[in-house]
Amino acid sequence: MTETNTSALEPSGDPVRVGVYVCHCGGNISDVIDTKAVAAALAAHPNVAVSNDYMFMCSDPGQALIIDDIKANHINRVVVAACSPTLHEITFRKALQRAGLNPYLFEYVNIREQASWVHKGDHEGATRKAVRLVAAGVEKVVRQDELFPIKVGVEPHVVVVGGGVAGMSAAVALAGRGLGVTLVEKGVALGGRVADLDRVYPTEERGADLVQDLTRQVEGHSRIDVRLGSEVVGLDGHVGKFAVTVRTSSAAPDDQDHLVRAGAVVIATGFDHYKPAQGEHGFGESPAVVTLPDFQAALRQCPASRRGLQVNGRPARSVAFIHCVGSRQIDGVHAPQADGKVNDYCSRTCCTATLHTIRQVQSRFPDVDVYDLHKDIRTYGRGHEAYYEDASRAGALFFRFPDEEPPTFAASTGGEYAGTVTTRDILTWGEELEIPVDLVVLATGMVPRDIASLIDLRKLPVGADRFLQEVHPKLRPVETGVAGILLAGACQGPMDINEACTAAQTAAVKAAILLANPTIELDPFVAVVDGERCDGCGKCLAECEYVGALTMADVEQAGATVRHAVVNPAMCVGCGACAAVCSPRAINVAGWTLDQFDAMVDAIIAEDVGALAHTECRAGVRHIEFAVISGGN
Amino acid sequence: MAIPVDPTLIREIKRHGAFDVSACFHCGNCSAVCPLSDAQGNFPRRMIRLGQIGDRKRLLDAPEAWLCYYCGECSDTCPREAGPGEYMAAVRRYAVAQAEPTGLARVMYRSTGALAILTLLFAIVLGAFLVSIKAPAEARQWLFRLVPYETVHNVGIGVGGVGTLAMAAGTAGALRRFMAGAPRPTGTAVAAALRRTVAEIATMKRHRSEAASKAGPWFANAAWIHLAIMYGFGGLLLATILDFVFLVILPLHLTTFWPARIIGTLSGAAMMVCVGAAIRRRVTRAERSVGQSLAADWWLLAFLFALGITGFWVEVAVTLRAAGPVQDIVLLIHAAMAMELVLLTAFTKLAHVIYRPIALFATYLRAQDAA
Repeated sequence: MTETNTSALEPSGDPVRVGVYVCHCGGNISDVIDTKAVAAALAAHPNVAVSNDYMFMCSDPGQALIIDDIKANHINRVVVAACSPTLHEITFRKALQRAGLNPYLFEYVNIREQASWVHKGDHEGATRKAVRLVAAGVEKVVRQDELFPIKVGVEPHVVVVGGGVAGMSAAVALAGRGLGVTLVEKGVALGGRVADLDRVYPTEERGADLVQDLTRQVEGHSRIDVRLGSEVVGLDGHVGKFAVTVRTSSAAPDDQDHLVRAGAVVIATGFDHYKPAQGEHGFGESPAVVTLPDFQAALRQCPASRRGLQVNGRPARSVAFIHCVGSRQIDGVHAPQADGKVNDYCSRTCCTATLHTIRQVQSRFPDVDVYDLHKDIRTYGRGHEAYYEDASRAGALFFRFPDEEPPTFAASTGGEYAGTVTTRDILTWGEELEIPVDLVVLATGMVPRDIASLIDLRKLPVGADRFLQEVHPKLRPVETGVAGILLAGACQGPMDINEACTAAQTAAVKAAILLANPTIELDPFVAVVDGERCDGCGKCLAECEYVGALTMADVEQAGATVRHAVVNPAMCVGCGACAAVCSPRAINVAGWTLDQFDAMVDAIIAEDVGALAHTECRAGVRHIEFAVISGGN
Repeated sequence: MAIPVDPTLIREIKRHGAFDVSACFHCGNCSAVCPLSDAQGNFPRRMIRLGQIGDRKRLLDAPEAWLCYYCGECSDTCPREAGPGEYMAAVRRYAVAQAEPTGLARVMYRSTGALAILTLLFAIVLGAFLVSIKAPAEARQWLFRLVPYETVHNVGIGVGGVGTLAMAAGTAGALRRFMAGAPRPTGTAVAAALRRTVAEIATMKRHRSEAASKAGPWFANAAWIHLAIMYGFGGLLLATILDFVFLVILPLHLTTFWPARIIGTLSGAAMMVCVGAAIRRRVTRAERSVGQSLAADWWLLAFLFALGITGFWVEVAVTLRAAGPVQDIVLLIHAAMAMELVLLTAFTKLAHVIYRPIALFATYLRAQDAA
């Protein structure tokens, strides 16, 4: 057993009385696990006052059981053994709150995914496992302090970094919600990549029109401050109170830096076009090989004339489009990028963009022979497949090349056409074909922009693909690991305009929700320093990944000035890296202390629940309550 | 050895009736449902791909197009409505056009006007030729005032010669192409393949089994209609030959050879009824395979129907012992058309009479080799 301190009662003086509730989850749990046996086993625990099982704990009568026991039986800790905490942890916390108990004096034990579902054929084993898991939950909750959400004051202003369609969309949405916006654009004009596009799929609008429409909304809004030719060079503070330094290089030397206080930051820095390597499909070796963006520009400039399609002053009677250039690369087949890795992700937009361009060629120059060489066609969006089908109907010929054998181009000397594309074609049973072409268009993908200086300001999380990374692709799709810093558009990964604007408006809504009230409530699961145990060694500081979350400071303690670790709860994410290196156990994550873990492990390996030691309450229970944090840095 | 891609071939085939084939995205559904698809599951997708990449040689050397009875399952199943069945029909037209050296077939397939004009022109030439051989003196004199006898006669013989040569060339070419690359067969293998070919042609068993899945009475069933037209046509050919042998060659001085007469009448009736049924199927677009009729399709049916009408006209006239210039002219038209039909075999849809049996034979022979 771990050394436990049994010297004190609850701060209120009451003994620790745990209520245990084992849920049948319909039959999801009780068909495998003997829930009555689990409840009976836990009743033997010296701290457990009530132990029951019930059909559906999440139902109103189920919750009423807990509330009644808190009120009538003086239960002051609750353990629910049921499904997954992602489903109902908040449900039960609120039930505790309604009964007047601190909602964090609660432990959720998942005996569905972790016992009944994975041990369907072993009723006895699953039941034994459930008993130990619930016992561990009890051991944890008896060592649980009351916790209170962290409250942070809010600045009703947002800095949006990047003035493309995503950044502008986010800015307009935020300003429309009544928030102030500083829109920081590195270039000399708003619009970004979309400004370069002629027509955009699937609406066939002009890129310039889209940009103009958004620009007009941005510039016409009194709450949006546009800063062109500017960059973010400082990003201090935390959610609710960021201090952002915006540098405008073109301004007078003593007036370049501008400090903006903002409650949230939206990053919308966009993407770069992949630049093919020298010799990749003949790129750089022949004027007959161009990238898709270059071809689109040439197509836009080519007048309709009897001379047909002309690119770079040369006729293009036969054009081959090669997909997946710079995307879906394979180790050993493609040359690695600067970071030593290949771009193994799909750039998602190039398939439809290529087919859309093919349709433009076909409608303007119907005599041009069009070839499309792909690994797969991924026209996934609404209306995108029509471009594929229409291009096919209009005579584009499709070839499917094997992953490991990309097509090659060889210029011809004196031939009828500029050269030949050679490809192995899966649609022709893997035979090798030679296509006579005047022009090869490489459908280049998206790569992340070089925003290292911005990333370094806050150690923003970056994925294996080098794009900025969200917390969870489904559940928290536009939030970064740094609270209050949100993602909008292709800085996060390849997206088309539609998706980038969707992401931008999502980020705007997310920011608006954050800043809707004068204060933000954050989960209290952050690092806490026990001043009596901290010896100021600073090992924790070296481990902390989150800029500003942990500092060393001189504090007054018992009349003496001592050096301690100090946590900024608004910036701490509760990862626990600091706790892992603190030998005197002076720093812990609230709600997940090392003592709690020790007790849980002991409970799991214990033979008998009834033999676990009675725990009155751990010494030095502190009510961790944070004052409203209002200062930025 | 890399195959050069040639985009002109598919454009040419499209003009022969495969209007939607570019929409094919090679999902393979057609191969999954095709009754002819082999273990590799390439029928008819292989043909489509060969056309798309422009591999003329392999496309024309393959007997596949002639094995297809156009049941239409593939076209019904195609998610892109690319019409693989229509494509196979177009490949057959294209193959017919490629196999005859004059280029007439190509013109007739691609232009309805050219088809009509050439049909008429051939009919006139052959009619005049017949007049030059055997006709009342007034008719001959009238004709030879317009065109000298030698011209009429020589052009007629020339047309006959070209038609016959084209047929011979088509036969030889098909044998060569479809057998290309196959190992030299043994005598027993040839005999076995021939037996299978004759059995399939005589019974159309596979065609009937494919068509059996389609609902409807026998006279709406493509396989039965085709079988009856085929036997009707064969019966008429037999009756004509018998008549020729017994009435013209043998010195029997018969006025009517009754067995030939009975065979001819029954065959003609069967053919007329079934050509009518076939026309009805095309008019009502009874199923996918007759949903898209080109001039060349109408041409053959119309031709056979006209042949039947003029034939029965003559038969009735002979039975009633009616005589006169009208009867003579109808007989002339009938004879000229019959001659034209046979001589144009290698140039028209009727060419399948040559190519299908050879394709079946080559396929059966190869299957034996493989086994």
